[in-house]
Amino acid sequence: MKLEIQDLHASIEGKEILKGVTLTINPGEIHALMGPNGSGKSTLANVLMGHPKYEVTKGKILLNGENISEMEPDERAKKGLFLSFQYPVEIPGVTVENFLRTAVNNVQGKDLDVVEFHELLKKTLADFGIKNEFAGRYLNEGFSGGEKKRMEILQMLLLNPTFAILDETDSGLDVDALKIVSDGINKIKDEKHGVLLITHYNRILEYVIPDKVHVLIDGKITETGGKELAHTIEAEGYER
Amino acid sequence: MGLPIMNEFASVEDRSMYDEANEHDPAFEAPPGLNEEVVRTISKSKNEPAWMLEKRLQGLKLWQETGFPKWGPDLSALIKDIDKIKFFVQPKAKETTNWEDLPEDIRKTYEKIGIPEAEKKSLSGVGAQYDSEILYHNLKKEWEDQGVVFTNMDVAVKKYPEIVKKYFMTSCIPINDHKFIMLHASVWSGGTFIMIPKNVKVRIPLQAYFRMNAEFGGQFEHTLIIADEGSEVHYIEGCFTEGNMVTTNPDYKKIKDIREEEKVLTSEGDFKKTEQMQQSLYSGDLYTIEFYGDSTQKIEVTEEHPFLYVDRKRKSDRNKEWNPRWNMPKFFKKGDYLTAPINARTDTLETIKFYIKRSNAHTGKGTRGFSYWEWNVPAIPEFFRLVGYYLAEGSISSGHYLNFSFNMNEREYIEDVKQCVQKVFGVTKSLETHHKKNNGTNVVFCDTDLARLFSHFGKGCDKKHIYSTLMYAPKDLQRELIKGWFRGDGNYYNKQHKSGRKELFRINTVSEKLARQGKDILLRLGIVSFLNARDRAKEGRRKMYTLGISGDQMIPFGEIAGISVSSTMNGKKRAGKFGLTEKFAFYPIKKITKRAVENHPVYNFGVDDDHTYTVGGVAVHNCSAPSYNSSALHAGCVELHVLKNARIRYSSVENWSRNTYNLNTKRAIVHEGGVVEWINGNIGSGCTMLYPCSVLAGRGARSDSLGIAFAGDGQNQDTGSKVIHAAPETSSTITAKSISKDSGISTYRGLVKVMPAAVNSKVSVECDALLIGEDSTSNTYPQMEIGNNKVDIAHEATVGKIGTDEIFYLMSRGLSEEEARQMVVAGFIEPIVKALPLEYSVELNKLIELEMEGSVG
Repeated sequence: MKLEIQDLHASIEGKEILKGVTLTINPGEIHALMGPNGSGKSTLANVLMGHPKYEVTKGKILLNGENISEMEPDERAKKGLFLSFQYPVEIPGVTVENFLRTAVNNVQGKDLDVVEFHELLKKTLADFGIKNEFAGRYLNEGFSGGEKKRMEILQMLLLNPTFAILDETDSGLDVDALKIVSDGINKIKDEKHGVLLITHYNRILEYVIPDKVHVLIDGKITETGGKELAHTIEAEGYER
Repeated sequence: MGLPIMNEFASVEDRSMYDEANEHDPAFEAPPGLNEEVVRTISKSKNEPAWMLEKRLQGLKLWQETGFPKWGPDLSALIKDIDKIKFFVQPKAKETTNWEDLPEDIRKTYEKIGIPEAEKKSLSGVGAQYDSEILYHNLKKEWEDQGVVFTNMDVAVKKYPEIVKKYFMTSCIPINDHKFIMLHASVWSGGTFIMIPKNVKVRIPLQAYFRMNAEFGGQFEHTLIIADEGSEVHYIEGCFTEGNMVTTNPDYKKIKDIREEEKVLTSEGDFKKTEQMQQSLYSGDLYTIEFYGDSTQKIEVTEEHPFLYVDRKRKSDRNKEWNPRWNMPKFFKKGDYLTAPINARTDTLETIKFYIKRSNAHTGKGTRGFSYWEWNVPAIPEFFRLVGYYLAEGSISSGHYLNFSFNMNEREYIEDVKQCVQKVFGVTKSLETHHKKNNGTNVVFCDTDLARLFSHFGKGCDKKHIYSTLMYAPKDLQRELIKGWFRGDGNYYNKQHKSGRKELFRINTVSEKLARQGKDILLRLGIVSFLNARDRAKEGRRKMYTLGISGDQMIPFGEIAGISVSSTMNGKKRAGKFGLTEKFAFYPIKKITKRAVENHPVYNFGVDDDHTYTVGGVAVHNCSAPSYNSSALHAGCVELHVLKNARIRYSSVENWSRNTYNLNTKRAIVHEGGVVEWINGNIGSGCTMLYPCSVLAGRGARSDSLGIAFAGDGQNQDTGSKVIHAAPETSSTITAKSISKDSGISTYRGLVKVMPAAVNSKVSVECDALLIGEDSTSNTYPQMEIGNNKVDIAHEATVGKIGTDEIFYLMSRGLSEEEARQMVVAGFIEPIVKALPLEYSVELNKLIELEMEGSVG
């Protein structure tokens, strides 16, 4: 099982954003993807998950050898892919609990009833240091930036994906929230899970140690290295 | 069980009511169109006092003098047809309840909502004998003790003339209010009259389904509610499409089961989830009911949840007569009977179809893959008996071998199995193995097709079940199935105890589904069994379900099992706890407990059952329109008088058929410190004009209005709210939500008027529209007239589409596009749904989900 991105080209409204990205993530690995604003990091995240706005013009996304680049987002989710959104949307009137139960049952093909799921959620919330009332609130509505990001990580823990793409999950978090989010990421880090961590900053890499660091510039990966690359970038910038 | 209790529900019409009306003037029927003669005839047929006739005639005169409104939706089709409308029709039960007579789109809707076969029968009049009159009387007595009046409007005119004269179409909605009110004044018929005395708080909502007895013509019904000082009442009106009641789902089953049931609906009618239901909260008394006949479950229900019920006549004796009626848990008594309908469907079967997977390599269709072969197995007694043996003793090994395991001394059964297999399938080859250790004999048929056929009845003992076709098979065949099953899994307990002889037939299985199916088949065969379960987790074994047959029920069962049972026991005639008629089984109540709950989640209301056909229904009031083909008109009128410090909540869900013009008028006058709450759901009708209005006449009066309108293809929903602030310190909130889909048009039309005297008042208006598809329309006309400058006003309007980003987000969490859309819509209407009582909110959700179907792509 691995996630392979092969020569991926993608455009939006005719404008090419990704210009041939190639990247392989094996289970048990955490890859950090860094790059300046507008380099295509979020586009890559959205294309991997299947956002209808983007068109894949060339290349493949293989999950466990299967080309998923034509699949609907829900199918990709069921295959074990997860995207933590940079800007999670608000869905008024839909409670966190109701949403999460539907998601878990769909993604994992389970049939948890309300009581069973309630217990599971209660436990997960407690483990994650989130108050129980959270479950009854409407999805992301009126959430602070930090709460939204925590919500994304909570979903990741519940859905237990094989590969998680985290799109700037660390941005806009204070130190405490950053620690909680990092804990969440480290929780799923084992030999069965892979993570693509998209970030601007080095900060989160103090808590989540990447196996590899890639630099994306103008829709292409220009440099790949170990965790020390992140420090180099911090000290010297992307264009060196 | 449990659920089947609600399987059949009271028919909406009360025949005696119609019969009574017929006595007055059996030949009566008004010709189409409206004139003085028609009005006089209506009045005469009701034996009305002169002043009411006078009012009607005044209304008629105004109607004739006044032109149709020139604003709002297009009414030209209605105006063209207006002379064809029958303004008063003597309702005939048959006309309004014959299932087949309903227009197809309505029938389809009901089928999708899940009105089961049995209920269709009751719709066509078969189930009409269950009179809700008694239930009504129970409550009525409680209310009467408090001085509450709850009666038919026609009756009230004669019984409470002074009060009606004072309040009926006077200060609240005068007869000259608008064109359709003039019409209403001249031809109104039926409806509800409610008076709540000072400081009386009616806790249980007065529901419109009580009005089923009080329905006359229906489409011009008048509702008049007077809440005296300090009183409180919640009135719920369900205005559903003509001809019958709509069932809501009052069975607060385990959510798990609801989901299963929904899946079935999905496969049949592409039905979607009712997530909201699972989130509902309830405050009030919760009753836990245990009954004889099934110790594996308790029913937990709210106090007003109606059940089919039979009172016990004598404490120590079983009833001789069984006449079920509706009753609510709060009136239940230990020893009385709950009623479970017996599934009456019987299919004539010559063969039973099975689809058997076959490898193409063997069928010559190629070398790879599988295809399905249709196997028509003869529906003969031997097959059914064989199924019975399989359910008890059968197993499949390695996918190719069909085994039956018996005790060595059950030679007779071993031979019978072989003979059955030969007779049904022509298979003569079998292997027999003997196991000395456990005295077992195994009969093995090495036949892949046979093994695959029997896997339809479950592989593994806890998965055993009866293939659904066999559940509807003729009785003589089902008897054979029971016979085979009993031979394997059953035993005859017959022991002399100190207290006397004890006798019992038992069938044991670890499959819960099989146990329940067996119970149902026995009911069809005229045998009431009881179901027990024993948890054997400590022994590391699966839960054991036991069907027991005792007492007088042993006689017919003995005939099936081939064991003769004497008709007496310990010198007395065999007794029995249960009652049985052709249609129902009756189970005595063992125990009732109640507890008060606050915001109790619905998912704890546990009643479970495997039957998908048993979605119960509460009969909701019948607003019958006279014709299905031409334009139909509903011009009802609701007047609420909220006196000092009183409170009325008025909830309604209106789902008229597409040909209906729903031009309804609702208004409340709210006096000092009083509160009115309007909750409206509008779907269905082709054209709606409805703007519930509150006149805040006294200091500190308040109005809250919550509305949802759904305009699907070709519909025009023109709704909104009106508030007149006529006194200081009054406050109002309006929350209006609309969904437009395809060519649907929804319009919010609101007026908030703050009079100069209404200083320090507060106004808050929020209208949200959701557009689905490219062709849908939403309009907002929020008018405000503010007559002083000491008013706090908040106004907010949004128009939204279901965005790509929302859908993408939800889909990335595994929801399909359609599920994602429905989740957004369900969230959108959540504030209204939350405010409605459970069964109505479920109904509203389901209806909107139906309307939403196929909205993707």
